[in-house]
Amino acid sequence: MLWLWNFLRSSIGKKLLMALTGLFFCSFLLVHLGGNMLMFVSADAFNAYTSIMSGAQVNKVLEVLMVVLFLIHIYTSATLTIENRAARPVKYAMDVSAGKRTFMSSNMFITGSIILIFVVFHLWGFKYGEWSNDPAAMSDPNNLTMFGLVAKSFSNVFYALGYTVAVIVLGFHLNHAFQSAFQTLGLNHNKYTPLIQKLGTLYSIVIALGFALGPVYFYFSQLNAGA
Amino acid sequence: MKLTLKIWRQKNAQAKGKLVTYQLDDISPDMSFLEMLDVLNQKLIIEGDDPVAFDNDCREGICGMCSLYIGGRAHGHETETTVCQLHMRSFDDGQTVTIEPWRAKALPVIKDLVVDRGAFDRIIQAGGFVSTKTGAPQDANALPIPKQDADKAMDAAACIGCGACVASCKNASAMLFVSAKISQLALLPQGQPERDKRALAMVHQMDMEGFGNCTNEGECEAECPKAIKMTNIARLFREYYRATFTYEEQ
Amino acid sequence: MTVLDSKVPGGPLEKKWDQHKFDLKLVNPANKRKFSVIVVGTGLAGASAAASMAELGYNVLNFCFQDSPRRAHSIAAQGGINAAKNYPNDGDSIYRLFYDTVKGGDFRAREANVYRLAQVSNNIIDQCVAQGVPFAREYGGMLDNRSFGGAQVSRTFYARGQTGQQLLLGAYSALSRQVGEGNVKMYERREMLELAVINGKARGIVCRNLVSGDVESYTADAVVLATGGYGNVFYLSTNAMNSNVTAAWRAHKQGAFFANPCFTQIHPTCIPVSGDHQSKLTLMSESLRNDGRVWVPKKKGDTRPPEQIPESERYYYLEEKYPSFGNLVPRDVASRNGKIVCDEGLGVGSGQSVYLDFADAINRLGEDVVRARYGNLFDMYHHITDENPYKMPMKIFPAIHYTMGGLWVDYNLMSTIPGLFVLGEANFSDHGANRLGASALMQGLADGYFVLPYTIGGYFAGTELEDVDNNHSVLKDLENQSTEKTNKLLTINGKRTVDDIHRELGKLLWEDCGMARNEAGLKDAKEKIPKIREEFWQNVKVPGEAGEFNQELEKAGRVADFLEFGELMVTDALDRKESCGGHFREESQTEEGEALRDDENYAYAAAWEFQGVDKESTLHKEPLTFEHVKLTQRSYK
Repeated sequence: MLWLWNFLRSSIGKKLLMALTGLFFCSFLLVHLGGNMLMFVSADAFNAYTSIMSGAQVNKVLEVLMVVLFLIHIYTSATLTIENRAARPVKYAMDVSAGKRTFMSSNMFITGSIILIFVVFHLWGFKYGEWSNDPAAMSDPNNLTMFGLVAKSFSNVFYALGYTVAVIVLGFHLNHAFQSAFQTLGLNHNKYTPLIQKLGTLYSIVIALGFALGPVYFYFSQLNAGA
Repeated sequence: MKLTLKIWRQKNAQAKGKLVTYQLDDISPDMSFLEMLDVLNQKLIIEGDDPVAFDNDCREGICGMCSLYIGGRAHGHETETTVCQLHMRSFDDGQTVTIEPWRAKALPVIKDLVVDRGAFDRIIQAGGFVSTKTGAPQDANALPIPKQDADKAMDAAACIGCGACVASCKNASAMLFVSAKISQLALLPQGQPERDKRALAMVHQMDMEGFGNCTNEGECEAECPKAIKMTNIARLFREYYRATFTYEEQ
Repeated sequence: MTVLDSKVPGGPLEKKWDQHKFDLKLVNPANKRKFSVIVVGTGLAGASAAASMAELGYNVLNFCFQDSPRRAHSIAAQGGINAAKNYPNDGDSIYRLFYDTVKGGDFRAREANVYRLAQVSNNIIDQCVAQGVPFAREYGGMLDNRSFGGAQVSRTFYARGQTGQQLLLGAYSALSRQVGEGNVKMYERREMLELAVINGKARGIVCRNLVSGDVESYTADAVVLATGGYGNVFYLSTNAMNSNVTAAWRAHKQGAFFANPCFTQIHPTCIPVSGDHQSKLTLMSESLRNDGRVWVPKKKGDTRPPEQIPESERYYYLEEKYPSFGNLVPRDVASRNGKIVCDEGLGVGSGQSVYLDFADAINRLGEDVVRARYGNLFDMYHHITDENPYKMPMKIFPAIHYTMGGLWVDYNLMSTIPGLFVLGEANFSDHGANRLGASALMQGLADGYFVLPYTIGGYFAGTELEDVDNNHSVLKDLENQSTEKTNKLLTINGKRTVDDIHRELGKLLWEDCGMARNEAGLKDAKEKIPKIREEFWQNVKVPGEAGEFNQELEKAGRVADFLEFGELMVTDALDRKESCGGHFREESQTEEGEALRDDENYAYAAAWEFQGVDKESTLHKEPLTFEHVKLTQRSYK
């Protein structure tokens, strides 16, 4: 298996790991977004969904897998970034972009780091936050269901704003990542690549807007309720 | 025309370099950029200064020798040109122009604006060839090659090995250069027998040389004087995956 | 005067090479690795020779002054490469290619060499295709051919406008493979300064490491020069900036005869000089003359823009003088007539150019058709001159772009120094007084892939070679000479730059030893060159030090050699009192003012032996006999 180890250590091997783990998270985000949309169906529907997601044993396995993939994504991105910086020890005094380089595309590691911080915060606030969908706990007036926790959290202006900014950053990260992953997989063809690029942008907008909908909705609805 | 030049001066590989400012009057708009540097050098020599070292040879855009980072762009601001094809008429009178060497760990500076591109040769030596001996191969027309394949191979083979792709890539990645040779030979039947071995060997050598990694931002493609496309890099990836997962090393 | 032995084998023309290959002694495979060969140059000839010999098992040391073997100036050849494949079924054959080449060379090449060249031309195409050279193809997948340079058959293979590049990269890839396998040791950024002749045989070279400035010696059992032509003696040419005569000249000074140095080729359709700053000239494909019409104003000093000059006041000199060929007369005729009208004061622009007008073609065919045929050339012209050739006529002028002369070699490509072989443009052998289009690439690769690897074996098998190492006194002396010369150049500290003096030499040679020459002009040049040389050694300014990367020092060394070589060119031109090829000797013309060859007195290759700087070289003649191609005067009336 030395060949596999050599492959994974090679520049292209690392890029492939980045792309595959990235695409996995792209699909995960779609599922997550689908679940989030249940917030706008009803509180019960959303709570039922979150109960299933946090209860099923199979999801524990998925969680472990996700952590591993996430670590791989972070590790490869960190090593690639370090290597890329080292490849140009002396910087140009003047450097102008002529290609498709954007502020976001050349700062994927920074947007990635912001997303990492956000994810930790997000898990701590919601997944491991104080909530229970258990019917037994429902009688307790202080108990928050997941829906309740979400609604409460986002009524805080900083919380809502922070979330919105974070998911927009995520959108920009995805915009470069999506089409880039296809390129890394070797899927570049004059017939399909323009479509993939458009799809990537559409996907990033849907993800960013979709996830921003929660904080925006709850913040403004509590404002309305308060008024 | 008058110009202010800020040129990277570095005595040798070990010395520390810096940007030095020069003033030039009387530049004709019909001069090529390199001829403008000739004028500067003639002036420096007469004044007893060390002329600026820069690589150049054919001065018609094909040898790949010239390699200047001008105003923050590889080969200057015009597309699909080398420095020798860049003319002074595309600059403004009184403009300040910064001239730097290619910057990459794998392409170290030898003097002033001259860099060592031996890494490119070593990558080709690792596998950028078809192992055929001089002798009596079969007739040239024995293997028909679809015109579109031959044309695509030619598009990739047009690479002049100048290093603009590495220079303009923010990661100093050589993947466009490597992919051009890989693509040329992967597209042709002559390249098939060594296809996998070649991909593995060339990528390995590329990694050893200390180039960075592609982050799919397309600077290389935009600056390539021969318009070599990033579709070749995707092909490089495919070739490398194919080789990794199917080729059995003896 | 000795009679040179060309070692052309006997027997019928078609069998000579095959028989010779059989007759050459072989080196047994196990013994090949005991032999080492120095190859200087990595162009088509050098790279192909180095790779092929390494494949055979020889130890090869390969040198180039560029940063990579891939940059040699062969890369700039645009048009194509000839071969007698007869794929288009238009009646081509080895014999026809041979015939055309001898005739096109104006009967100043060796028949046997040219026949061999035509024979191996087909192998070259096979070889290059096998290497993955992406030649142009038809939709059916077969190789495409085009007619080139007025040939009546389509025998030119091409890869867009970059044939030289693709062929060179093919040879470079074969070379790279051998470097990777350790069979070739590659030395980049080294300039050969001296040839070491030890006990009468070429056994090594001294070169300068252009990065460190160190003077280094290398030894081998034979030395191969594939160092290109000397067109840059004219200062302005279409050659690369660093192309030079140094390696060949140094070998000449060690005893290798230099043949036909006055044979240089002048290409009619180049972009004219735009000012004193001009560093080199750019060639545009000759195919432009298929649809462009060449003219100048009839009136001297007519400064009206071209579109305001009425038809009746235009002088279409090629069409008027050569009604049957018109604008399609061969290179030499087109070039010479361009110079004549400019000398008469009819030139346009700076006075040193003529119009090449596409207005008629655009009217007749439409701009789209013209764009499809010449779009890339028009763009290139537009880019360089900032003038739109769709709207106004191009301005063109002839420029030096190839040199047929070179070190004299026998049929085995060996010079007059045993063990010194010379290939490609650096030798004199195959093109006579004029090279046909798309034949330079053919010759370079023929020499390197298919001739030298055989003949060098014959040399090794038949020669006693004693051990030599690089501490040999000959090498040490040469090293000291080189160091001294370098130090001298650096200490003159005069007032003129190398380029300045080079430009002066070039201008003189262009005027007096260019397309048209006469005795008075040549004698004048012969007097002036030693003076320029003296000026150089008294008043040149070379900055920097010996022990560093010093491009001015490189240039100075090259120009010092051009200053000696230029004199030999003029000497050769003086000797050849006939007009042949592109060389119009004004004393030798027909009543109509056309070139007149003198076969009775000048059917020889002039091989010059060096006697010392400032001393007259000795002429040796190799008589040329033509058994197969009938000697005829060319006429394009």
